[in-house]
Amino acid sequence: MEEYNVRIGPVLLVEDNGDYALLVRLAFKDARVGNPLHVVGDGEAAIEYFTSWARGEPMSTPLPSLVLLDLSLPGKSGFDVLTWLRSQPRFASMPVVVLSSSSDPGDLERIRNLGAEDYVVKPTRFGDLVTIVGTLARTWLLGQGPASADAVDQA
Amino acid sequence: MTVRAAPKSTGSLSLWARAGLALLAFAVYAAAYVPLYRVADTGASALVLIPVVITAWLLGSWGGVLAGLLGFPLNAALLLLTGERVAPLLLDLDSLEGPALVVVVGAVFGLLRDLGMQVQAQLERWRRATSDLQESQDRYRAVVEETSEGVVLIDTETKKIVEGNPAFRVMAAYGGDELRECRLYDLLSESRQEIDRGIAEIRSGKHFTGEKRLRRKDGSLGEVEVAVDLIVYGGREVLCCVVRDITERKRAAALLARYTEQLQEALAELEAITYSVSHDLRTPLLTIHGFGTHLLEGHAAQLDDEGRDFLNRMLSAADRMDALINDLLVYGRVGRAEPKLEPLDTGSVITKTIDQLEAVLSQRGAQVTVTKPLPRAVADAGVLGQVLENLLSNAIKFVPPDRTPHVRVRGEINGNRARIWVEDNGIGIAPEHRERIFRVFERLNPADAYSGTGVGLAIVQKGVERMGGKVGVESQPGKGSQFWIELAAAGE
Repeated sequence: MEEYNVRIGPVLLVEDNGDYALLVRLAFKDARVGNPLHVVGDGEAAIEYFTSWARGEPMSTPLPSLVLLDLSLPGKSGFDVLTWLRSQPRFASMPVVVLSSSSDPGDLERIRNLGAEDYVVKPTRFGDLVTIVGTLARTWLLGQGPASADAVDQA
Repeated sequence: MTVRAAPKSTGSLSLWARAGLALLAFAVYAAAYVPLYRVADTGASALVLIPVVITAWLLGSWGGVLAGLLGFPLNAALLLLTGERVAPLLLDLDSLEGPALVVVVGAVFGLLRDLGMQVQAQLERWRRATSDLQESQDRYRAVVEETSEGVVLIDTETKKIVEGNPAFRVMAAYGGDELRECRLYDLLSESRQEIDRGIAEIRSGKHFTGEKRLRRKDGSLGEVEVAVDLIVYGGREVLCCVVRDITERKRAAALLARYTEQLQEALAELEAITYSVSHDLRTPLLTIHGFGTHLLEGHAAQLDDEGRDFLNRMLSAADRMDALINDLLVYGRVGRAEPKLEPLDTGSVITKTIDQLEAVLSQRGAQVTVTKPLPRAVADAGVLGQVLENLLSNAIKFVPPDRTPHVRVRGEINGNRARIWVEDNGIGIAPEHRERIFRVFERLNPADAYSGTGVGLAIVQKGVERMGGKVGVESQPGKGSQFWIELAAAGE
């Protein structure tokens, strides 16, 4: 299988659960996604990552090609991070995919209004996670666009 | 009604008894005649009037006349017994006045007796009629006095209380005669104008039934239900009001409504907690499943067969837990969300559901036959999909492993109800378990034999109920089950 690396920037995962972050890393490997994965543990750290890049420290904090954002974070929530990102002209077009355990239709509506590209309900089976990661990579890193996004909406 | 004793009079004796008594009177007279003659000479003959009068009294006018006519030949015969030489056809009065007098006396006494009887009968009738009337009045009065409904009569002109029964006096807390001093204005919380307008409406022929607030003597207010009719009472036009005290009922209803509201709030809160807890329970599952899978795949060499078996058991437990949480989430969602009811083609919903279940159906080698057309029904497309999905997976779940699951889906219309049947060739359900299977976590079979979370049919029941329908099952153990759901039919 070919490695996907059209957009070769890293994927930034905002996730406070270390187990989950490790599983996403494993899924990247299984799905043969070559982009490096950066993990930050809360909303503050995510915002700090972007401001650090903006200050001109691209070596330690390279600009992500895709942001995977958990909703329920300690301190600033995923909603707050998304709102902040969309308020910064520089990051307004940064692809953001929200990961959440909630499948509440109200949350979904709010996320779309805030300008997230996509919304993925966290799976409970590792195989599903691999599939989701692969689909997200094809869609957002190979530039195929959200045409195949249906396959991602696994509630 | 009391049975009155017949009046004690001659009329109470039978005709034959009375005739016997009359004959006895004549016999006594005849026996006494000869001794009397010795004392009073022919004057004794006048005493025939005594049995004649007695007969008239016993037998009436016709009896009196007959006795009088018999008296003359009897006297003549008795005179012959005495050896009297007087011409036998004449009494001692030497004229016809004698026999005529006897007949007249008999007739007059008989007539008097008849008249007396008739007067007595008439009096008796009058007495009876009067007492019947009294009794019926007493009965009505007792009903009004004893009933628990308040009855109050109000003069439409003066607005004064004409009468109020004890039940009403208790409701309004007024003593015996105090009520008569009151006017309607004192008894209601409304203004005079409103009361006058109400009375005018009733006088124009409008019957009133409704709730009012009754002002008691101490000024406190009570809730009453009133029915008012216009009647004529003692020559006056009065309002006849039947009043029921509903103060307690209203208080109880208000209390019930408050409790119900609190209960619903508590329930909604509980459902919200269940929903969010179910979500949070899913997160650790990925950890268990993800690392378990990696352990099994990437580190299999370091494990012996037993270790791999343990790991497989853990992974399948995680799968079961995942299914359970998913079902609970669906159950919670179906129970919480307000269904959007619209006319639907249930056939297209079932087609979509079968497509979604494709993987599960083919894995089990199941066949699903849909007998089209299925009826149109009023339903929520999402909820109906959930219901049918659970019915279909239930239908293939409880089939012995060596049998190919065969599911038949068909519909029927009964009046304004549309029914969809989902029939399987599974193990069936004994009649005593048919109520239980629709409850959450009710499982009839051991977990190892047939996989299931015990929530599927509860989702079916909840979903159908939320759409205003009904569910049911017909089944024989070993002969499969026929589940049905019934919804409001939608026109073409």
